[in-house]
Amino acid sequence: MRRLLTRKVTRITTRPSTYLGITIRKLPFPSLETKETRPLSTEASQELRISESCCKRLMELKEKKNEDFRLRVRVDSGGCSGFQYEFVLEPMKAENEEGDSVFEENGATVVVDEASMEFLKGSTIDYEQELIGSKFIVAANPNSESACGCGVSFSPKM
Amino acid sequence: AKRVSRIPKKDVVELTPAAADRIKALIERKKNQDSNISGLRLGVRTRGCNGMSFVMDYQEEGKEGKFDEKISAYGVDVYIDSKAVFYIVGTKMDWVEDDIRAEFTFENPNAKGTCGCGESFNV
Repeated sequence: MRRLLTRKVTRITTRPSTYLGITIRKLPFPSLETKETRPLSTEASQELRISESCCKRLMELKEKKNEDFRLRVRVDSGGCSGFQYEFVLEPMKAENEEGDSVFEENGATVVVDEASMEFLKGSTIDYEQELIGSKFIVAANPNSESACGCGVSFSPKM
Repeated sequence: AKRVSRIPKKDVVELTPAAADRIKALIERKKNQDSNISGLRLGVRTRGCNGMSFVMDYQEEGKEGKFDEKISAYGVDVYIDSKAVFYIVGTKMDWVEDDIRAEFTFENPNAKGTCGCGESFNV
């Protein structure tokens, strides 16, 4: 948590408007006629932000691998704080499961399943680049009470 | 005459070629902006859920600590903070890169326990 907080502070001071002002468009479900899907809430706190560096990295990967895919973010039980984030790349053509939320930003697509969305509402998906390494992270999660030092694992607010 | 051991001194931290390549790229990139860099600096900090985690920074020329360990391998220099040597001696440092992450990994034989994500450890 401490790390998340400091990270948030430095981001705000160094890049004031990179992701705070990002607007998120929601894609309609392609299988809307056949499947019954929960309508997406329009509340701002329900949404997921995708940071600029995350978009950039996804576009870079797309170019490198020469195929279209999206980033799936999952919340699983495990890790030292109870729950942990998991990131998987899946083909763009992959079918939406029931209740999936799809977010798009500058051509980069992030998909979250219904159960995980409960834990991710209002957070930012970011690609952290540090000297020691780069990785996808979930930053500024308002649903997390405390988090592991590395930010992979967290415990939710009950 | 002074006896000189023919066994070469083992490095405090062992670098893999992949790690060295990455360090070389980092230093070269940094040198373009700031020529005062002599290598990379590795230390530990009390952080994370398991006590300690590795920190990395550029080493400014002439600012090396007196008792820092210098490792030269595959043409790159890495300075180990003298206070960290005790905790990380024998560590193997590697660079792994896949779609989701690209990071240095540390295999520390002194660690009694590590965090699930492998970032923090205790000795």
